[in-house]
Amino acid sequence: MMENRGFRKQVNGEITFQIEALEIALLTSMIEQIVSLLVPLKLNESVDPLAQLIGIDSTATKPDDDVLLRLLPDAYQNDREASEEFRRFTERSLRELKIKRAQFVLENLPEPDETVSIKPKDFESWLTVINDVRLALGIRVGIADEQDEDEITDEEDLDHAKDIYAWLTWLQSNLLEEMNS
Amino acid sequence: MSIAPLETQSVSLETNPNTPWVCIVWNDPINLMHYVTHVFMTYFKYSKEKAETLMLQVHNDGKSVVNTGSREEMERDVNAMHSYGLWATLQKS
Repeated sequence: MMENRGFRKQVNGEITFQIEALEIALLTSMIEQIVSLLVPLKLNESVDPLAQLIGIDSTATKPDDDVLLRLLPDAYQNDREASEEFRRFTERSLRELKIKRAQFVLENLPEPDETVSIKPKDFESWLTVINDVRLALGIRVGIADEQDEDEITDEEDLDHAKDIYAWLTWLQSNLLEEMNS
Repeated sequence: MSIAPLETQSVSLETNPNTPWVCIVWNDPINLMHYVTHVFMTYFKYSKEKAETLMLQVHNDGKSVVNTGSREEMERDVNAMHSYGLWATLQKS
């Protein structure tokens, strides 16, 4: 294990980040999955250009996918109509914000044996992207829990996913501690 | 980023337009407690003590009213909470 593994606050206020090659591959893959999930399916369909410009999506509806619904929740608890209205006005912008942050982190992940330096203005992007990945995996792990017990390979996958989830928890706690140190 | 939709249509005659709305954050088993505290301090600019109190309410009671204001303001807050990955809704208080 590398001595400076993870996030570490420096005297200049920036936070350095260094992880192992396998972990870089893992983070890359998970963040890419989030991006592909968030890219609006109807992006290329004929949308009112002005509405698109100001982030309105007249076609936005409640997501069927559990992970997507967790990343883009309803804004009203017991008012389907108001929730759908809210989605049409805000969901596209929220998707774009999450995609933008994810792509920023993807572009700035360290290479193996490299240490990257993160500026204070970018701390929140790293923190929220790691949180989105944890949310997505947490939902998937929860779903897998309820699957048939006779699927042994699934159980192995589940154990593996829980290890990754624990690692993400460590990573996010590590970043939060360094941000507040 | 947040546009309040159709305010005039949603306010009926018997509704007091001055009735404040609330932004509620709900408990979920995934978000870390210190992350939730961090979000309350960062976005709402709450003190650490207030942010921790609200976070513990979310954790122990299942939900907490984290802000009060107009419908537009609460929509903005809910949208922000969603951008942080917190599970939030708004409603009339």
